[in-house]
Amino acid sequence: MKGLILVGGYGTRLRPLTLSIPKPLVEFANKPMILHQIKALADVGCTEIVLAVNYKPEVMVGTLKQYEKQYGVHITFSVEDEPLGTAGPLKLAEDVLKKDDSPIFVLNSDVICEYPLKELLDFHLSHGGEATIAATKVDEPSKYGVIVYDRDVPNRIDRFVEKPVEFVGNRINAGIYVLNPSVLDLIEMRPTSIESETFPLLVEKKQLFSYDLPGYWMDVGQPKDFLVGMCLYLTGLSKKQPELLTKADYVYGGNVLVDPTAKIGKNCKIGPNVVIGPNVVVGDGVRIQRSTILKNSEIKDHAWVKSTIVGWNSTVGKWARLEGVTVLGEDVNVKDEIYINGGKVLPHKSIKNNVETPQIIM
Amino acid sequence: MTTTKAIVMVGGGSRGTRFRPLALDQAKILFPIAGKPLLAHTVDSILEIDSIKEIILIGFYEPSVFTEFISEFDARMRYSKRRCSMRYLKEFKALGTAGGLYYFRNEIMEGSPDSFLVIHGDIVCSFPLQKMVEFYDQKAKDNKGKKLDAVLMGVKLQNYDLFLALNDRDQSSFGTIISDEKTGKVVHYVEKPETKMSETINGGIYLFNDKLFHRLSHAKITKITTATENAEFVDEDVISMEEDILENLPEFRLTYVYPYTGFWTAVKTPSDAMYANELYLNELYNKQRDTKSLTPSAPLHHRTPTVDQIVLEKPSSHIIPPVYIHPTSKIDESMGTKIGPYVSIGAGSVVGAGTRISNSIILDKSVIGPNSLVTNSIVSYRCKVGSWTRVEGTGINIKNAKQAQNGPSKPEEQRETRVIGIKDSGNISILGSGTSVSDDAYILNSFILPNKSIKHDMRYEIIM
Repeated sequence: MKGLILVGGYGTRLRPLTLSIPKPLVEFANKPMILHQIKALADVGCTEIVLAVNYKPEVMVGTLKQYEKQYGVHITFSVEDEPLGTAGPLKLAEDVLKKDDSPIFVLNSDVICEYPLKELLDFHLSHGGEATIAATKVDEPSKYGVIVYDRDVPNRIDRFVEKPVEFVGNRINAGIYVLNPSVLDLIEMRPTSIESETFPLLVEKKQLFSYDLPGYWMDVGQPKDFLVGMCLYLTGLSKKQPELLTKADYVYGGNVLVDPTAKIGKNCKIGPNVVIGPNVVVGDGVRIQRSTILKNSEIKDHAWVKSTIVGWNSTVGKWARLEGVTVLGEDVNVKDEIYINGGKVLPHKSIKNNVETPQIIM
Repeated sequence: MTTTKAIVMVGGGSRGTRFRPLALDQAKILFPIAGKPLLAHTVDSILEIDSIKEIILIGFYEPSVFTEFISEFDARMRYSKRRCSMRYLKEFKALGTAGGLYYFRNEIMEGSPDSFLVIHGDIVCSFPLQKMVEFYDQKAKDNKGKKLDAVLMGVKLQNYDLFLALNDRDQSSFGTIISDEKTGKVVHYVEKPETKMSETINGGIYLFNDKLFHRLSHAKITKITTATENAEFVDEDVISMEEDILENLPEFRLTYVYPYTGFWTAVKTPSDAMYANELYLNELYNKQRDTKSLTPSAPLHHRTPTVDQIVLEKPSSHIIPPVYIHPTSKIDESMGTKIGPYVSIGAGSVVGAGTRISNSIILDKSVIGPNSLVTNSIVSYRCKVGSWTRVEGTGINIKNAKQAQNGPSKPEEQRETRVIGIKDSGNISILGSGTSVSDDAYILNSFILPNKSIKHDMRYEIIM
């Protein structure tokens, strides 16, 4: 089987982190974001994986070579000369995707969920339609494109309503699809959208079905949602693979994922919902909640960190306090006793004064 | 000539509103600064003049406010065999900065002192009282025994513009003194000047003699006779030292200014109290460093016979001087606790492990939990601050103050970021007595009135 991951552009929404490395390589729960998807595709039996990208950074090529071996998959880059939208990349990679008759998985790279691709595939094969969309339930459907179901055939999609004013349903497109290769014939070789152009054609043909995604779902393309997604992911982990979470004395409230190479000091109180990356050094008496600390960073004694992403090789000083979706880019140095609320700090900066209100530190 | 009396104008509870919320706990004049009440700093300096035999406190507080202070004073005098008495005289109503002096003229002149000191109770400085007395005697001699009108302590400001920047002109009144450079004779006095006429301001400490009462009585009469509009509202009992007396003194050509160049401030607001804490701790530190009393072998007396002897902490891995910690307070020094500079901690308080405190006053019986941070803040009596809690005031730094006054600063000034005292509310945090703050909470530039329980972050708020 084959999978295509829509990676897209520069990941500007996840800056300042993506100023240092491409978004797919930013670690989410200690694994590059794209690896969550590659692993899910490999697990369901995909051997051909296409990454649809606007540009191809060398650093990604190298990293992915390594994953090819690790997961026994073949990864190709499909590089768009101009942005082709969400459907164009499928057409561009037609040669690979049409190699055989097996269904094609399409994943959006910013999405984090449990990836029940096996169940999704089984469902797809059972209804016999040409395409299946994974759907997720949302609290405020009025902000999204909502799926409206056929009255007679369960799970068959009747239409989409973009940002509905009246309640028509609470399921939205989760950005995960299974397509029969025949769907590619509906796509023209030009910038085009799978959601607004291809799917309506399938609806007309009564060939588009929807699968209710169990568990959590989150688009983690920006820092605020990255942290929400992290909480959901860790909660999911606590149910399915609790052995991966730390049970050390310093854990408070659970859901704490710590790389084995990280060092944690005395009298710390960490959690709930914390990810600590490789070679991170956490000093004594440190309090961390709802945060990701990326690799090689140091959190010094008595610091207090909440709702924050600490970028690689950064240092947080003693008695510093970070909160309010603060994001430290790579190699940022926060001096002792400094307070940062919602600061987005660009790489290689040194912070010597308090940042009381959310702002970008150039 | 001998100066045998000192009068301290202590103010009153109905004034002091600018000292809230701390004024809700106790009289401003008794607020502990660098380990002892503000008033004790003044009184202990007065006691250094051997000729002083009586200290009179004049104010508008209830007498009970000073009962304990005076009985402790009396006990100390008995113990040290120093002959000096103290009493409190309560004004029948608030009489202004000088009305009380006239009202209690008989008490002041009892025993016919040649001269007497008058000190505003909220003044913080190194009190060069003995030198002022000598200066007075010298000037009297220079005038061939003619009775002087007064000697005023004039504070020569090192940086007038910075002083203005730190002291809001609308809020704090100060007078400037213009004097003859050679003789020190005061030629002009202006209260609340709008232009810069002199870098010498009125320090709130004076030496007077019985001539003062003629001036006061004259001021009362003037008030009544010159009242034209709304004459029925003129209260001749209320007399302002600055406007009714000092502005008129120079014309009699027998008023002198004693030049003082040391530290000086007046405690009006809680921020001023923190600045005063810094100044007094600095003074103590410099004295004790010179006399080597900070060495471990020095006896740790809390109280020596004549004055409250405050012994500062010696510098160490967890103390950045100057720091005063009452001997009965418990500091957990493990886990990298770091205290100072400019910290005073009162009796029976507890500071947890790994806690950082700087530029703050912690009063008696308060608890600061582990891994917390307290900076530019006042934590009143019996507060409970949790773990990983942050109580913070932003303070104001010299750089910003200068910029506000002078426009953009020069590059070398840019680096000057140390917080020096604080201008007004909005720059410090205050926890009123009995406040409790939950773990992980953050208090930034907020005032919490007494006995509140704070469970959430507070930024720029006043909690009733």
